Amino acid sequence: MPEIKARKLTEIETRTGPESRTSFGVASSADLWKEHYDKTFFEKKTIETLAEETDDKEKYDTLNIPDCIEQSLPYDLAEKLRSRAPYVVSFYPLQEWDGFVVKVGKDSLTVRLTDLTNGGGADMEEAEIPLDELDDDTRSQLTKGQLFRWAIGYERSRSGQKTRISRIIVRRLPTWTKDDLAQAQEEAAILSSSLQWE
Amino acid sequence: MIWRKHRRRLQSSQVVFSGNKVTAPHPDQVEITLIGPGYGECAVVHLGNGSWVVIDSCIDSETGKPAAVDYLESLGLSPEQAVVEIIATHWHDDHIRGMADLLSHCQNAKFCMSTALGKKEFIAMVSAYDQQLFTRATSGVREIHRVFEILSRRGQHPRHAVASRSVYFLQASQSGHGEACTVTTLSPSDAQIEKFYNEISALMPEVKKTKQRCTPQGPNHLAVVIWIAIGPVALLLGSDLEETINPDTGWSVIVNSRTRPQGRASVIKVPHHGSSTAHNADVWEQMLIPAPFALLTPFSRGKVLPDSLDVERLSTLTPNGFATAKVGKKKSKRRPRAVEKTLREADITIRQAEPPTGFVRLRNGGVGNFSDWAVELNGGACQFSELYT
Repeated sequence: MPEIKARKLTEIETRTGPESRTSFGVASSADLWKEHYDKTFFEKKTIETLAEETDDKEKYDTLNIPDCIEQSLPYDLAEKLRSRAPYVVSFYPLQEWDGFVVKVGKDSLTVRLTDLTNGGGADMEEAEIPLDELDDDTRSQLTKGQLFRWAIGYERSRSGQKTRISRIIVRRLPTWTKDDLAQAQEEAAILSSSLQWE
Repeated sequence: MIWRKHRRRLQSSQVVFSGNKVTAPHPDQVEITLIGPGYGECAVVHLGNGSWVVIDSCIDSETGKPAAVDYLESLGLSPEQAVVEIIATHWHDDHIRGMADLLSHCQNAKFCMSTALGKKEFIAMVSAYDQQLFTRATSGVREIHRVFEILSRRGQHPRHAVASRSVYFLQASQSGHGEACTVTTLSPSDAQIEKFYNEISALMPEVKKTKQRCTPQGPNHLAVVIWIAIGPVALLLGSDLEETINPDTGWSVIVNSRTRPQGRASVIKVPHHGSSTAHNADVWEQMLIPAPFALLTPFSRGKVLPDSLDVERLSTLTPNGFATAKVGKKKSKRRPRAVEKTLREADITIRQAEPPTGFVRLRNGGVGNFSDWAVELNGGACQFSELYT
């Protein structure tokens, strides 16, 4: 029975393409990205996106890049990031969900949620989120089927101020590439040939 | 599952109760149990002599396990030995949660699904959408993808589900009650399969489009309606088939089919959660006995089904209507005070996506009392009249 080819993707590779691993030399840190993603709250950004958004304080101020990543960055990019010292030093999540949009109503979104903090099955909770609670940018991106991460917790600034926040971050997933679809076609060929009808 | 005791007396003077002692049916008894909602619905049918058929799958909202596995194990049965056939009437995660685990448990069961699901383009779509999304949320096609992988790994050949095809037969000598049993799929029709192919084309991922969860629009064109004939008794399981204006699709093509099994069913699993879009008067007049037993699971994702008008309509068709849960009865988790406060301030309520899993069980009296049914309600299951109480 032919084996289905295992898919092997790293965080960085899927977001920026294989060539970026060589350019930015962060391939060895990819696993750390993944590990940190589960433990701390920060927006997953590609290195290219980081470079683009360093002038945009609003999007940047919640970043908490692990030191090891920052050290592997090209010097000029690392300097840019350091100069934009984040307002927020840390974030302590009390509750996190992964979710997707089921329906966009006139005044609210209906969403399905997977509780990441307390465990349990996927997509087992639901909520109606008033559209008024979302900023315009987030609202425009939350279309039917869109994935997001929602966290409620406390963030602490450099001055020591502690603030309770609720933040929905739209998952900026990578786009489908030719390789993705070719891989899917290859797997489909194997599966469909092995599914002999009775 | 949560066991609760209560007794009700129906208009037809049958005693309905749910007890906390659950036993397996006798070999000569026929049983149909509708379980849900977990995430989706699941029907388990005892044909006789320990042979069970499972239609679709859902997970128990309390345990997170496939509800059919939970149920059969609660009867003291081994799913591996008991289940002879599994039929998938849907392909989307929302309707077959736990199907892959169920198939893994039931090593000896045959698997039946629509022919259209074996099409290479569909499998490619599923494979693409189920590529890693780095999220705990499901991809929308994760279950069917895992099912394909299990079938492929086992070298198991699935059975076609198409209009008027017999997919399982149990001889009278092996049935425990002396009646032959036939499981027949009544859909999808050729036209429905064609519609499905068109829908799949629209869902296919494109290069440079952002990855997202698979969200099919519109009705389930591949809904597999099932007719189970057990001697003088028949069961009609309506899946999610909705009526259409096209005479080659929907319920009309089934009612008017000259190749479908004849006779009238005494039990109907009401299609599409009792919605008016799935109602066809000819089904009730030509395919069902007067005042049949009607079972349904409520739906509550965005819109609520059945609505009050649906309940009114169904109640005029039969007094013997039962649902696996009441509408709108969902629990919330307790969370840290700061989280609760934040949600309150934003006017957001987080609830369990589905009410606690319940079931409606119909068992007949076995040989000599084949057409006498006893109804049992468990968990949040109720009569139609109590759906909105």
